[in-house]
Amino acid sequence: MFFLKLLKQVIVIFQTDISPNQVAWGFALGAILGLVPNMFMKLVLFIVIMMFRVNISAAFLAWAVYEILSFALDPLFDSLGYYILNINSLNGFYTYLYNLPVVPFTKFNNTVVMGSLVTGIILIIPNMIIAKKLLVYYRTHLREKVSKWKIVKILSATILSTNVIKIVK
Amino acid sequence: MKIIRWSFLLTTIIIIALIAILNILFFDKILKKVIISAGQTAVGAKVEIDYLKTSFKNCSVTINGFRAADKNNYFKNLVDIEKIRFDVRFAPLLRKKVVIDEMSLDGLRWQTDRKTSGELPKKKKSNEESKFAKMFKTAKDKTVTEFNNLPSVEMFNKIQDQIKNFDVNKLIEDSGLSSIKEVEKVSADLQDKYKSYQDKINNFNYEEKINRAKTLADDLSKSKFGSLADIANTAKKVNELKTLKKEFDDILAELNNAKKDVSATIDVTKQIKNTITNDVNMICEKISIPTLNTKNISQMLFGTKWVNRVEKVLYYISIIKQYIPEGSDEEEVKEVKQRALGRDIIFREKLYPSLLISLMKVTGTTAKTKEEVGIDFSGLIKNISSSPKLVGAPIILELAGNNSTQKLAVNGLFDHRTKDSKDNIKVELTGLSGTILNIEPNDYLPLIDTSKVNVAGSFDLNNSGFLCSADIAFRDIKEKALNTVEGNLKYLAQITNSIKSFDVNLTAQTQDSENLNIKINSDIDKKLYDAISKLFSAKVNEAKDKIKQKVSELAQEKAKEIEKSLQGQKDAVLKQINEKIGTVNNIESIIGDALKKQK
Repeated sequence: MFFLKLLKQVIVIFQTDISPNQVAWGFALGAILGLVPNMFMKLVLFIVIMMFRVNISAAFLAWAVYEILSFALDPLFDSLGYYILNINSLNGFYTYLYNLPVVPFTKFNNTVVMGSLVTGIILIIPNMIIAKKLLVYYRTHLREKVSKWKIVKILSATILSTNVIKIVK
Repeated sequence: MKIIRWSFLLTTIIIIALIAILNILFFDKILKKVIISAGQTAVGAKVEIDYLKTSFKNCSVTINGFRAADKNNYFKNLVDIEKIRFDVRFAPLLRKKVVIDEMSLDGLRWQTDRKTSGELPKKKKSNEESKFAKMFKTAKDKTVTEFNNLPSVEMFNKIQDQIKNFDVNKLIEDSGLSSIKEVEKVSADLQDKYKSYQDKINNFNYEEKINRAKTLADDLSKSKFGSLADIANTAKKVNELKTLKKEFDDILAELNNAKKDVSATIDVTKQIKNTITNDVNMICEKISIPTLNTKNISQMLFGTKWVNRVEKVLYYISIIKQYIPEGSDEEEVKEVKQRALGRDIIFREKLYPSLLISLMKVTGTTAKTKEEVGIDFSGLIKNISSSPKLVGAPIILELAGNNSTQKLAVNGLFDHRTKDSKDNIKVELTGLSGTILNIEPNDYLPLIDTSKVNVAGSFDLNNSGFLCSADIAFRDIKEKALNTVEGNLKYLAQITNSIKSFDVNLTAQTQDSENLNIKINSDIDKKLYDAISKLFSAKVNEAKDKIKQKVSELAQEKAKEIEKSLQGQKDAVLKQINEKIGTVNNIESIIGDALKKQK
């Protein structure tokens, strides 16, 4: 059911005329949500995503994709985080953060959290550019072809009927 | 392009505002309930708060009318605080740590009266279960039983009985005087003596001798020396007369001795003098001062009180110990902690204990009611925390106060930074009224309530036991008005009035539940004993004089009576003797003349 919903949302992103920028930003921020393991950090990021007018479906798609990827990337994040957290020049800054009221809840001092967060931040721009370019390319070259696929037609009809029912209700 | 999703933002803000409003409306009530509940668990009796107000602006809490009942006396308050105010640091609260930089406690009082019972409806787990409470309970029961069985209680009763039953006449009656018996015996002896002399005189057979002597004297006066035979005859008569004279000399000597003996004064009193002395000594022995164990009086007077005081201090300490766990000698901070997902890098953190009150300013009074005059004191308590090791400093208590006549100083140190925790409290009170010790007025005690009391106490508690000591000095004890007491109590009042001051030294020490070593030393023991001895000696001497006089009077009365009745008998015997002496003297004179002529 979850996958079906996700699939529907993906179709909506790809088949409708939603702003590519919104989708790109949503995807970029959603990627961080997927990469970061800490629940508090996830919650903060989720609120940020919800606050800004970015595409939520794209964010969820990215969250799902990167959540799966992060399992494989955790050792890498651990090494990266350990390196970052042990930069002597930043020790004072970390100590300051560590003693702030709320920040310690983010578990930023955890190697995986720090590694994944930094990776997610670094990937914001590449993710955004890639997402935007792919979407534009798809809509220009592939949308017409794909829209003729039976599965897409069925799902589109379902989405349409669901919307109509919602409106009627 | 609108980049903010306002609908979400507004919804979020509304939800947060609602939560805040609900908190503002109900937080005070919830917090009040939490504090009451925690307090009740701690003290095992009702805790009441009249008013509680929090302010989110500076995280301040104000509590008015905080009262915690005493579980040992539900109609008394363990503590009664008019106002408590403190600001809580916000940041540590997010880490479930309560950090208070400064707290003020105004109007602190203790043991104030309650109108309603402070008993909890349901029995909560009490502090009696604590290690020290258990240890002390066992030791206390043992010690109190010992105190109640002290011989001094019996001793006081004995003294009281003796003073009550101090009646000279009764003592003499009960004693059965031997001097009276002696008077009777002396009387009988004298009667026998007179009778024997009478018999002796009556049995003197010298009439024939007198006649013979007269005849011989007469013959000699008529004698003529015509022949040798006449000379021989005369010589024979002279010799016979000489022999008779010698016999009469003997009789005369015997009669003179008898006269001398009989004419001696009939002094029965003199004869029974020693017996009277013996009688007096025998009666006086019965009113001697009983031996007093001088160590017992103060134990009887202060023992139970002291045990109860120690118990009270232990109770307060046990509450403190309950919430300040001992530290550990192990190092807790580690550089890197391995986790399943990544590693936590620990930075130098400003650690807070769960509860930290850096400074608590206290003001209060020792008066139990507002009308009573007590010592207004103020002071501070530093470093109250749930983890003294983390704070790195022991809890320090400093209270001081005075009024025109009284002074109070309390210093405490509760060091729980290591496993071997040490608690120490020192209390100094000067110029207090004797009423503070709650020693019930007693006929055997001076008016302690009127005295000025100086107390220097110390309480040391460690993991293995405690040492509690107090030096109490009672000064300026007022005298009991003698006109208000009657009968035998007057003597007791005289005893107690002679004590104007005394000192008591109390110690209680234990290392385990079986050996509570309580020592109570006081010079009141000696002072009381001296006063009792002094008064008793005076009383005994007075009684001895009375007894001597009374016994002498009785014996002499009897003796006089006897003497009077013997006088007639004596006179008759003397008369007889004198007559006989006269007769013998007369014949001796005749014999003497006759013999002179023959020469």
